[in-house]
Amino acid sequence: MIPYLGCEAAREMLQPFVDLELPMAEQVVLESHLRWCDTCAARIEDMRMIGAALRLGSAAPSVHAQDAGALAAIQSEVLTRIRAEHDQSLPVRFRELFADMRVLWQALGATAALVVCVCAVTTVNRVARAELPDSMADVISRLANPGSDRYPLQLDAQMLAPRPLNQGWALDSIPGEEAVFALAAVVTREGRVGNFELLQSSVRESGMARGTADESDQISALLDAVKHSRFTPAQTLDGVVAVNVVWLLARTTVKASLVPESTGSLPPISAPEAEGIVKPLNGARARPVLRPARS
Amino acid sequence: MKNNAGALSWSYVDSGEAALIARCAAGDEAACAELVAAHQRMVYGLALNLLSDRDEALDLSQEVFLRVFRTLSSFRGRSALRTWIYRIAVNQARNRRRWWRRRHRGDQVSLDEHLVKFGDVESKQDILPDRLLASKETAAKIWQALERLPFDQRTALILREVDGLRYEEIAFTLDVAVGTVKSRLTRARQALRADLLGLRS
Repeated sequence: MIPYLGCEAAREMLQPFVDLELPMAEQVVLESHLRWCDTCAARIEDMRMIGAALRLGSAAPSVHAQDAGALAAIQSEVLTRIRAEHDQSLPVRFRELFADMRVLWQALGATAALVVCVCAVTTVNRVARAELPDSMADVISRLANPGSDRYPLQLDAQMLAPRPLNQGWALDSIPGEEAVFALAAVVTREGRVGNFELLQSSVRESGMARGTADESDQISALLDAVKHSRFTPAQTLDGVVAVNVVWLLARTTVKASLVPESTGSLPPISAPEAEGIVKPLNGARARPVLRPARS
Repeated sequence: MKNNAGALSWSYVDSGEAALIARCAAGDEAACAELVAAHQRMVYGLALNLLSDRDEALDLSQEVFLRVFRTLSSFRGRSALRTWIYRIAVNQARNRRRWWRRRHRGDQVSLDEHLVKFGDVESKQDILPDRLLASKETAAKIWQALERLPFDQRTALILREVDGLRYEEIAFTLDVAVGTVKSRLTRARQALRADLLGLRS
């Protein structure tokens, strides 16, 4: 028994029926409907006619008649272009790169030149890292770090001047009656002596000349001791700073002179020369005289 | 699991075709020639139907095959090779049609022109003779009406009626759901039928 199918429901099935997409069971039901429903049958006919007209009017059936040349052209053109694309593909191009070995030496030379250039640039850069005095970079770092060990300040009145802490050195060992050493140095923030430079040294012998080798040994021993001496670092309101100093070390021997005859009664004063008393410049001990360094 | 599914989907492609695809993907020129020869008529015919211009169709066919060979390695056998090529052809035609329409806005093909172009068609065996007495003229009218339809409706109907694709294949070709294919076919047929009724009266 085939179930009844109304037009409403049948209409939904017409298109799949024409397109052969309707399941067999529904196909049977629809066919029984079409046997008596002329409207639906006519719709089916219209759809089939449209399809037939489309196939008839389609340009495709004429393809083999007219377009054999066109089809051959498609094939040959496509194959040519595939070949061209294959030739341009990456592995092929890579292989081509090494097919021509004439450029090998030029390429190697260029690579070597490049390596040399890079090395040169690196070296120059490393060498030129040290800042030139008065260069902009130097000025900037000087301004950025006032009073650092590298950029010491000049002593001025607002500063607490550095004071020596120990007296590891002595002028006693220096032979001669008069000895003056002028040193330029930097007293660092840690109170050490840096950038030591002997500006002037003079030793005057009173007696007979000694061996100069011995004397210079003595001087260098003194300078060595000076180099290792410690200071309280100079201080400003902001804290400790490194300063440039000029350091004067002097030993003078005061000899008594003969009393003028007019004073008569006074006995002659024996000079302490015999004991070789050291008369330091400022007070009891030789101490550094600190002055603002020359700029 | 995924591999199994992938392997299963290759059942759309028979072993001979799969071997051909593999050879093409490996760059075998003879295989490429074989593939073009096997499908060029179908592609050219579809291009001709969609673009109504022989030079354009020829050019499009070449583009389609080039695209096929460029993307053949990504063909996963989720459809028959034929359907996959249809899909590429439809996409290319859609792009070209946009470009074409920008250049030739409102450039309509006249009936005479169409008859001259498609006049010498061969007869097909499944034409209903009694309803299509003025067959050539009717066909030309219907094709003219078809030109006015939206591209997707037109393509769906051509794929169904001329190329004989099933709903599922049309859905894959147009990259839409089967339900969408049905509704597009319905709307296209309704529009053409309205034209046909006007022709009769």
